[in-house]
Amino acid sequence: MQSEAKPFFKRKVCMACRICVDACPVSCIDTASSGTDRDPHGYPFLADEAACISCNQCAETCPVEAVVMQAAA
Amino acid sequence: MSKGYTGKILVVDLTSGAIREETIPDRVYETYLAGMGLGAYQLYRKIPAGADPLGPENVLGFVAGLLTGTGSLFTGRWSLVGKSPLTGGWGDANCGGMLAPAIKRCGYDGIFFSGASDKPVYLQVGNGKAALHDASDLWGHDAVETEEILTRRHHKKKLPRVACIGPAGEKLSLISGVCTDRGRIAARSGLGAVMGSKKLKAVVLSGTRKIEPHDRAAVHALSRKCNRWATFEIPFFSGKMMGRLGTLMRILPTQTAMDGMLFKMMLSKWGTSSMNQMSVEMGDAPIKNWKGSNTDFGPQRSMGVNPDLFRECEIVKYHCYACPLGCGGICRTNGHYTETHKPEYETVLALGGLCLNEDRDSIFQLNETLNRAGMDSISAGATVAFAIECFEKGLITAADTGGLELGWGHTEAITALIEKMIRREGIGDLLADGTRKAAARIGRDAHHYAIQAGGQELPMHDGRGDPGYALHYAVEASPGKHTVGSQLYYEMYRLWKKIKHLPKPDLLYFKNSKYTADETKAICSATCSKYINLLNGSGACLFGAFLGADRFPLFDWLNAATGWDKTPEEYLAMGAAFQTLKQAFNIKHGIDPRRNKPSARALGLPALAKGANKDRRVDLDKMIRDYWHLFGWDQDTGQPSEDVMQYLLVGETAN
Repeated sequence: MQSEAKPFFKRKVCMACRICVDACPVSCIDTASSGTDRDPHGYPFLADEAACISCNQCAETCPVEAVVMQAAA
Repeated sequence: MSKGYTGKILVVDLTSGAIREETIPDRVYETYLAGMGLGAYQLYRKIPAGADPLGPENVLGFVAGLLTGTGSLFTGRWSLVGKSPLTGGWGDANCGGMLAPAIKRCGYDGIFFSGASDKPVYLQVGNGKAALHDASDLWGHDAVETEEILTRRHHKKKLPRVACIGPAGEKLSLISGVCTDRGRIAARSGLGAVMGSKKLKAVVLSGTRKIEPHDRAAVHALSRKCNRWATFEIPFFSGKMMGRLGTLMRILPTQTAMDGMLFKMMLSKWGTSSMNQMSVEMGDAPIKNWKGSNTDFGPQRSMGVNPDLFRECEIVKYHCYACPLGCGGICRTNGHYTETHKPEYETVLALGGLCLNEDRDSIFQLNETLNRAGMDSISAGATVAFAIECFEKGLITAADTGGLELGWGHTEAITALIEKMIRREGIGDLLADGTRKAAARIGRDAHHYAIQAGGQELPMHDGRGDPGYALHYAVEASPGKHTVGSQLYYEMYRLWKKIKHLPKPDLLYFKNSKYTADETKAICSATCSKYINLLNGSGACLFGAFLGADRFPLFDWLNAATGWDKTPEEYLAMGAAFQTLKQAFNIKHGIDPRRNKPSARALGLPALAKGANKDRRVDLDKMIRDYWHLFGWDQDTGQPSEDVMQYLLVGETAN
């Protein structure tokens, strides 16, 4: 169901450009605040799943299709 | 039909507290785009001739670019526009971070402030709702503290974005700017003082409106293509090797046309600090208040600011909105501040080589101190270098400095002096308005050591190494800016790939040929000015443009976002119209364009006796005449004609 879908971020495609962070109307997407060898860019992640309203704006605005909406497990 | 822009601005009269929306006709966007172009259109009409930049008649605008939020890449820059108290003419400053889309998500392409409040206030804007609030409790807080307080106060569903001044703007320092994202700063032109004069502490934006391009799928397809270039990498050598590469470039009598892909890879790895040592070695970085050379700040000494030393402190890369590159960084250091933005090249050289300071930790510390205060690190470093030379020449003494023994490379004295400038304490009060004001206050021959153009301190790119910089320092409406053009920039823009009649640089050429003023160079410089106007109207980043016009599809993005069908030539004509309007703004406000030439020393008068720029002189006069001629302005005065002005004001009366 669309209402239960949450964003999933494809790291191999993601540019860490924060377009999805800006597009989210409830600011439930954040970026990593410290880097590791595997995540030096501060990639986005769903920081507050409960706040997510499944509006699809993050996926719609991502220029490289790195955000896909997936039904919650 | 959606066109990527909102078609509206918010207008706030701080004297009366009145807030209203204003609709902007489509023809204005089709002449100037949005962003800084929209700002120029508004300010030319709204600010009366002779208005005091720090008085209520000045208008201060926060504007977002036409492409911001459309799905295009490298388009997260916002601009601050107003009449500059530093130069007395057109003022602009440009900044990344996350503020640009926040302006448009509130439903506006720009927010403009006129008048002045009698008590500190801040503006909060949501979806079509705006209100002024008392900011008395925020006055005196630095920019990071202010942002934290306001973010907490107004965070409901959407995290608000904040732009604010720090103590430097509150104290009307003419070298102050406006901060966002915990230390990004729209620093140049002294517009923080304009905000301070209006008693406007901050702008808080929390809109959630959609930004709709005409054809999102087409914009995204262009972005995916651009991203392949933006993320292309090859393994790179070390930061120390960059300095040696600069040495090699200095020694060779020839150089090759630069492909911006090389610079892109350096930016991606180290950020702008990749240039720290390399620029010193190749003569791009001014040293010791422009009287020194790479021999004064040689590889052993400049090793303290080599790019690897800055990168090793980085805990995570920092991307501005819509940027796939991420040249910024959040760093952890051992100083007073535990987490800071990575200092930019300009900051490192202004506080480093220009003052012969090789202490990396002090640069980290001062970068954060200046960002929090909201003071321009280029102008601050240049003013300190000026003060050191005045001290050296006996124009100021320890009695004037409160006991500070100023000297080249005296890190503790440099740090203490900047703190005094921020607080306007003692000698700091004399210096807090930049070099031109300080030289006038000191008197005698102090003006010889104030290295500026039109009142604005020159940035860290030496026109004696690339005369294109020197020309743009002189001819731009906001003089002394490095973010417009140079011979190097023209090579990287690669506009001849899109516009066939533009000159294509030779792949290999003798360095001496750079100093011959000919029509081709004037065409290249005029093209740079026009193109940067399009970038600023679109909200695009210079570093995206450095990929080259064939890889950074600005014109195609604009057509896809708006539904227009304009050619690259038509877009460049828009860039020319924007340039002419800014020139007319300056003339309206009594600025004589002939008087914006950089200080003699920066043009090689006298020429340096050693180093990378030994015996280099830049003869600007012919280049300036040729440049003005290409815009159709009077070759002797730089004045646009009345006919041109009528066209530019899209049917309104020129005054």
